[in-house]
Amino acid sequence: MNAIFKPLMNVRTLLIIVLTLTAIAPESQALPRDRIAGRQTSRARRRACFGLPVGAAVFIYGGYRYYRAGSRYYYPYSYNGRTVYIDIEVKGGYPAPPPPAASIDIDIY
Amino acid sequence: MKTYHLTLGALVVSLLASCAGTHIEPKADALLAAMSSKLKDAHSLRISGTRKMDASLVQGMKAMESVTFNLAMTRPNKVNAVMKGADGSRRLIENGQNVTLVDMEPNFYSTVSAPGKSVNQIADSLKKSFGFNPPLAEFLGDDPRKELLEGVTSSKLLGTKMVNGTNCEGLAFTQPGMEWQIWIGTGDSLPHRIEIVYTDRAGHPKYEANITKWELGAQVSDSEFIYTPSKGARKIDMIPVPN
Repeated sequence: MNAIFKPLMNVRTLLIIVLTLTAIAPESQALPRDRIAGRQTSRARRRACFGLPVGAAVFIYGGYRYYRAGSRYYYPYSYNGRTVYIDIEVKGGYPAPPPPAASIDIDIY
Repeated sequence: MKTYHLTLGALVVSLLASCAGTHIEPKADALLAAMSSKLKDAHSLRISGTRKMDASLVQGMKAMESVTFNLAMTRPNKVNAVMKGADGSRRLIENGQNVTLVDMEPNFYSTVSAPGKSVNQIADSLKKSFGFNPPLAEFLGDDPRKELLEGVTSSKLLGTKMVNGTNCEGLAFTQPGMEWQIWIGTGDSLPHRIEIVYTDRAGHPKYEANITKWELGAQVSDSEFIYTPSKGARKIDMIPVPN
């Protein structure tokens, strides 16, 4: 049983992968994960929520369609099959451009 | 000498089976095989049911999720599923090339490239790249029995009981990280309930899906696998799973 129901690969498969990687890439062991040549794993962590705060309203700025609630701005993405609204940085009172989807790591609150 | 080879062969097979740590009850395997065969033979199907999932199975979810679903499929790789719950309705469309996810209430949609020759391929690709799957994907692929038994280490027969109005035979399976049960109709050989307990997660969260209606060989039009954005629909980006 794998795809939908099994969130983690089985232990044996994981062990084989770890042993294989250990055998073929010994130089990489001393490097931080995101510094291994050709691999970029660092992403900006963003706060996100499943629903917008009460009273959030559409706010268009810089060609983007944000939602604004008080002094905070939100931008929608699809994440793990659901819509999430990501907190957008504010610069000079206005929202920064929404980050590219591939650069985002999510903390849902 | 022949006897020696046979004995040695049996010993090796037994040793390998023991190392693999797998023991599937022959009757459980036969029931899964019959179910698998019946599902594979259906070129198209429709199913309806309910799904309950403990909150901890979805990052950030605060309460158990309970949804109803309706799913239509045409083999090998077209799926249209609609899920309705307290937090709104979502639709997932696979057409063999793309997958579109629609969040109906805010009227958002995302489309990503997800080519695949089968539902399994698409499901694996989606899970790996975007962290989600069509509902009950395990039953929609080329070989449900194989999919279901992957990683299983033991099985048990649970006897018969009525599930959603159908007399079913219960099978229980154990594998690293989870224990699960499937209830297969004694008359129709179709799955009517699946229950999963994630034993490697705090609090052992549960997942349960009940399939209340099966329609094998249903009339399913190709137009069901086409998404045309409605007026005011907004396209949003899908966040990929980190590598």
